Amino acid sequence: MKEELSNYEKKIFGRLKREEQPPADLEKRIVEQLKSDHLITSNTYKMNPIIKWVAASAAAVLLFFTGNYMGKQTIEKQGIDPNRGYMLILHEDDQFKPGDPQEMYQEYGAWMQDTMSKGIAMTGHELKNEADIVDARQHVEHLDENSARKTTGYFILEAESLEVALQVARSNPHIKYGGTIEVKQYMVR
Amino acid sequence: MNDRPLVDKFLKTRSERAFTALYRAKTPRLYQVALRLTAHDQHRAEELIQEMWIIAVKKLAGFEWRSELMTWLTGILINLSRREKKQNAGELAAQETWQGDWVEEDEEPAFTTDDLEIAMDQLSPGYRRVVILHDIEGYRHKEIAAMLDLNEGTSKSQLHHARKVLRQYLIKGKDKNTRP
Repeated sequence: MKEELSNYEKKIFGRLKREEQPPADLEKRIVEQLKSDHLITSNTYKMNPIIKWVAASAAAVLLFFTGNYMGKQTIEKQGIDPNRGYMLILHEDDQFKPGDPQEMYQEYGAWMQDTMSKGIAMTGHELKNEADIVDARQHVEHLDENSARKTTGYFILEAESLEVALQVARSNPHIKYGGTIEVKQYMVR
Repeated sequence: MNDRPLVDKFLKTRSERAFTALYRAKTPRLYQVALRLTAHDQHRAEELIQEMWIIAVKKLAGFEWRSELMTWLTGILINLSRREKKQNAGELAAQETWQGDWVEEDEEPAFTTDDLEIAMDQLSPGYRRVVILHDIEGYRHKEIAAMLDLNEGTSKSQLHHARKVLRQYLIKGKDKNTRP
């Protein structure tokens, strides 16, 4: 009587699928149950420093547009002048060491107020750590939040020159905590 | 894969974001196991996965890393399915007995992964569990015994009988397919 698997049987066992993607709504159902059982907190419960910073900067924006710079419109309403447009893309890798959230919040708020007080209009937002990359074959690669390098936020600003935009990037607290900022100038044809 | 950073982050924050990172890293494999445990009853497999994560989140702080995280999660999953089947049908399907001639090495039937999945679905829950754990997931008898609260000898014996019955189903399936 044969007790061990034959080589052929091993081969077929070895070809069986090891993974199956669960239905998308299963994750949602589980998360909702965990939340209702108070076993996890929702993502918005603890704000990321950048979100806090953007929220905190609302007051600064108000000051900016009602104070010395009365009469100008926000980027969201007016759009930006492409000839002065820059995008700052915030990246993180394992060198990024966030500090105390409250301290970071204050730093980002102060940084934004300081930047805008110099006449530099901007907007921005935090981005989720995870990403989905689509290629020409319509294949979608999911990068989870543990990916080695993450794009975690962006700012769009109007600046007089690349040097000014670089100076804005250099002064951002993100650098201090070990992040990197990619500065991209708008393409104008 | 080193799961500690994922687990540490979850335990530190208890956030939805940290949970979903953990969930997405582990669930595809566990869901495949759940589908096989339930003989591909998708609804029940989803219920098992949901129950497993609720228990895992409650107990994760006490997980001591004496095994891999996947082993621990699989153990929860297996025991959830086992409890259910105990309620329904009793263990190990004693009625499953070997009745046919053994297939010798040189006359092995050709079968596909689909044939194998179908044959496994026909196994009793107890036999199916041990085949899934040992022959598919690659756990050792010592680990299986710990998961199922058996001794190693029982695990080996169950696998021995499970393979015999599985081969019988494979032959039956092949005969059915080749009949005119």
